[in-house]
This record gives sequence, structure tokens and C-alpha cells, in this order.
Amino acid sequence: MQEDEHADADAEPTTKPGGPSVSASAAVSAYSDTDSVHVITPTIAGGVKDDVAGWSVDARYLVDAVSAASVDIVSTASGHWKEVRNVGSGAFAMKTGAVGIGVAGGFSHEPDYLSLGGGGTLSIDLRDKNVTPFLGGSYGHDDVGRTGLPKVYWHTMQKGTVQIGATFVVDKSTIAEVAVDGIFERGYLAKPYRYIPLFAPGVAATVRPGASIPQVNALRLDLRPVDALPDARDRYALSGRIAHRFDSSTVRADGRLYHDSWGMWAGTLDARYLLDVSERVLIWPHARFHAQRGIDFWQRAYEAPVAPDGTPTIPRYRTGDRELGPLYTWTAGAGVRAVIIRGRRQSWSLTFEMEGIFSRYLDALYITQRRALFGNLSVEATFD
Amino acid sequence: MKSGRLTAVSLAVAFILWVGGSPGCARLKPYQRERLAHPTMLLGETAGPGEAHVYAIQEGAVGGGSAVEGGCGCN
Repeated sequence: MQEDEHADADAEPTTKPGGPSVSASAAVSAYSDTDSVHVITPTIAGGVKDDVAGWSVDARYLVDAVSAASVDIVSTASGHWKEVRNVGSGAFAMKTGAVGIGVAGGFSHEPDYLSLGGGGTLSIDLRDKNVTPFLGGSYGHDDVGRTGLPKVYWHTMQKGTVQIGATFVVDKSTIAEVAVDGIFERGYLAKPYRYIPLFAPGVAATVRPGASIPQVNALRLDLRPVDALPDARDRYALSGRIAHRFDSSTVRADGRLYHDSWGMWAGTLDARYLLDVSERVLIWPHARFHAQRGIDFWQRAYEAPVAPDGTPTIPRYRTGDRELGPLYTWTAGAGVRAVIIRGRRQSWSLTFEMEGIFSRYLDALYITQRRALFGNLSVEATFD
Repeated sequence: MKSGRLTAVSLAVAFILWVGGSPGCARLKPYQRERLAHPTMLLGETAGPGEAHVYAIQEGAVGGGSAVEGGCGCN
């Protein structure tokens, strides 16, 4: 019996006429940066699908364990901060003739944040499956609070998304996709823990990019209000993807142009070159570049003009979230995937990826750059 | 301002429909799709959930197919 099992595992795969297959995976990823933020994320995932019948069910659960002592935390005189985020998601997809539908839902929970959401997609194959337009939409509801604060005082945020696009075959070796996203956010969009230093008129201009916490504290007013942002944000993205297959490699490139109602413009390019080293081993270098202009009301140092009676006027909108300011990021990395067992009824593979991320903040307090490392190790098994 | 955005989105949608329906796109038969059927040719998200979440937090932009969970990634 044992010999039979080994023979089965070592046999070369054969094409199966149909029937469901089951997949399961486990992964651990880790993130660490020069701003003292460290995250470790174990993930488990599983799914069942039947390619011939045209349906699939997938589920995933992950835990983010975050340990942080970033400048944003230290600048508010808070101590080292630890938090756990639980995330679960599920999806179902099926295809009937030329029409494909999919539904998905998920949650994300932290002690001070709860996010629930769901959505669906509809696609249709046209012109002998050479053109596939698709339409998608989702709705999400977030509760945003502070740890220890009763829920009755929490804020809410709602998000609706619409996506329309098309995938099309360019030639025998090339496939491409173009899509437009609209993301509409309403409600509390600020950061509840972030306090904004204010400066007297004339002083703000003397605060240099990357000014340290002691320098800022020496110049700022005593007043330090909490982050405040508009309660509506309409965000749009035009994105394109293309994949081209050579004899034993694939080039994949993604691009995105982004604009929103807060005045941000951004562009992102992402490319991977996936090379078949052998039948069982795939390696890929990866590069990504993102650049953005800050939102209209972004200021490195906000001024608080003083009224004749001595009362300072707090700017209506103010933020210290440097991801809303002008910045660019470079990401470079590589990955490898190896099939370690491939049999008639089962396949096991290992994947390892490592990315280095460099962020340059062009007009922010406290730091001007951040370097980060991200790694991921996963094992996946598929059973027919 | 809003009508300008609506026009831009309408133009983008029209562009997608035009590109997708263009006779310039190939019309391949199933037996001509050997290369397109390779697993690396799937146009899904290439970044895993953890990597996508890192990008979502470190970049001010969203959209373009990133399947990103909620959660603020504050501080």
C-alpha cells in the first residue's frame, strides 16, 4: 500500500477530464522598516474548484501582528505600540456558457477598527473568447475608533466601488486588460491617533522637511489638534495590464494612472519577468515605481493665525499622513517557486519572495525617507 | 468640476469598449491558445495579500484591481 502511494506521488501528471480539485496553502510574510514598524503575517487559505464545470470556492484567513514605535507614535509621546489584525475573506465564482459571475466578501478586525465588505463581478466572453468585458462593484462599511473608547463614540466610513473593463487577446502570445475604477468614500476618513503640530504665522516656513521631533516641538504652538479631513473622497484609477509569453518566459507589466477629488495625482508602474528555469522551477525579478503629487490641502507645517483676541484659528483640514503628501517609492525584489512534489493526484509547491522598498517623502515632517524589507514564504498543495 | 470628472470617466469607458471591440484585436481559435494558457499568463493580481496591503498603505493611490482588505494601517 505504501509503495503504491509513493508510485502515485512520483508519477508524471496526466490530464484529468474533470471533477473538483482541492487546494490549500499556508504562508508567513514579514515586513520591517527603518521607521521601527515590524509586521509578521501568517496566512492560511483553501479552495475547491472544478475547471470543467466552471465553478470555484475560495477562503482565506490571516493575522497581522504589528509592533511599532514610528516617529508618528513617538511624536505624540506615546509608547511602543502592538496590535493584532484579523482578516478573513471568501469568494465564489461560476461560469455558465459565456457568462461569468463572482461574489466575494470579507472582514478585517482590529481593537480599534472593524471593516466589513462584499461585492460581485459579471463578465461575458465575446468574439470566440477573445474579448471579455467585465463589470464589478462592492460596498464596504468601516467602524473607526480608538482602543478603549466605547463603540458609541466610534466613527463610520462607507465605501462603494465600481469597476468596468475588458480583457482582450492581442495575439497568440499577448493578452491585455484595461479597466477604470471608481472608489467613493464617505464618512470619517482621518486618522484618529494622529495629532497635528501647528505653528505661528511665519514660523511654519522655517520648519524644514524631515525636521526632527525635538525641532518640531521647539517651534510648534502648544495647541495640537487631531487629524481632520473632508468626509467625502471620490477616487478614480485608469489601469492597464499586459502579459506576453516568450518560449520559456513571460513578461508582465501593469500601469495605473490615479486622480481623486482631494487633488492627488499618482502614477504606478509594476513589472515582472517570470523565467521557467526548468519544468518545476520558476524565478522572477520584480520592479515597481510609484510617484504622487500631494493633496490640495497638504502642508508640511500648518499655520494657526491668531485672532485679535489671541485665539488661534485651527485650519479646517489638516493631516500628518505623509502618504497624502508628495512622495515616490521604488520597489525591487525577486521570487522563486518550485514544485517539490508532482504526482497524478497531488502537487506541492514552495514559493519565496523578497522585496526591498525605498520611499522618499518630499515634503513631510520627521522623516524624509524610509527603507523597508518584505518577505513571504508559502507552501501550497493541490489535490485532484 | 463634477461634469469634468464624469466626462473623463465616460471617455475612459468608451476607450475600453473601443479597444475591446476593435477588429485590430486577434480572433484566435482554441488550438491557437497554447501560449495564452500558460499559468503565468493569468492577468490576476501578481502581488499576494500581504504585499498588496503594503502597497496600499505606502502609496496614496488605490484601484487597478488590488484586492485589499480594510483596516486602516494607521500610525
